[in-house]
Amino acid sequence: MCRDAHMATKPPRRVPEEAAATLEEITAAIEALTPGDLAKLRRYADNRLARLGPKAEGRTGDDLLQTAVTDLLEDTRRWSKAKIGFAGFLIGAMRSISSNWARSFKKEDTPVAETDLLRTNLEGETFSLLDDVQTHFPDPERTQHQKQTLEQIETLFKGDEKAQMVLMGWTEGYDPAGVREFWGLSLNDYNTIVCRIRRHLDSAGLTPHIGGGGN
Amino acid sequence: MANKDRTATQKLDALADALAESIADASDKEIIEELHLSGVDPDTEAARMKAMMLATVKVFRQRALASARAGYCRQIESMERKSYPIPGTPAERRQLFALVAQRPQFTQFVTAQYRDLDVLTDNDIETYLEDLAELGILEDLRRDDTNGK
Repeated sequence: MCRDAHMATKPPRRVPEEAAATLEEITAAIEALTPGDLAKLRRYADNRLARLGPKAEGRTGDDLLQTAVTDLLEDTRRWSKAKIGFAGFLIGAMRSISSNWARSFKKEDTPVAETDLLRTNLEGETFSLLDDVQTHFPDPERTQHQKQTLEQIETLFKGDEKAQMVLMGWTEGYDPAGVREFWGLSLNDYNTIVCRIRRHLDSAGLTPHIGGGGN
Repeated sequence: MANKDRTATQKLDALADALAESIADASDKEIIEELHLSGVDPDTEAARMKAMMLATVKVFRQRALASARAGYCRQIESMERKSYPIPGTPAERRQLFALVAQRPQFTQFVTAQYRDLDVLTDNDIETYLEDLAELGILEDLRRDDTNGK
């Protein structure tokens, strides 16, 4: 499989002012959102926040959606009605905003209780992580938690071979088309498996823990 | 397919991305059902979210109006603070106003109701001269007089 072809992304182009939706059109579009659109926006926002991990810095899915709407009102982002539906636009905006949040996150700026920073080394000596704040090293506790989450997911789908196939494709960075192509899955089969994965992860309470917090 | 070099962070990030995108691609029916299964009433949640977004629009509209109003107030205040080069006595001001009204090049700035000087109060004339000064008409008049027009 040609992985690069599936993973390449194009930089977005700014919508020209004359094609951008007006305030009245934006208001009408919000009023016209269906319960299905709104459910999707809610679930998408929550998932993007989970993806940020500690980089969410206390923000919620509502904050993400509100930022998308505010960016649109303030002309930071423009919506072209002719090119994409309003829900699709908001999803794209939330994807971009949450990625920006992840990129602009500075670990040192996050307030942490001093006691949370105390560790004990192999010699039994207590030290603070702030003692060497300039050194960037992976947080061992977080890494351990991530490994545990991956193991829990693996256990959860132990008897579901197709779900395991899709999950493996995803964790390796393949996009949906890439996963389907690699495993020879039809679109219908793939969608059924994905729906099953989402529901099992939700019912196991694992969805909020999925997300490494990388960029 | 499995790549041993990928870290747990990379794997979970990729998994989270794929899950989020799967939501964007899923049918409305599926997502509504999932929301319901997670204990959230989809209709109540939809109403709450819509109200939240519309409230943001309302705040934005009010902010734009407030900003325009503040700009207008600033302009009025600055006009009120400004001192105009108009004569100090009512008689002199009346004389200057008559001069403006008579000059053909400035008649367009003096509306019909202001052409009958007898019915205008001293205050009317003072205010009107201030407006003409703001528009630069008095400056033009002075320049014309200096140039002998």
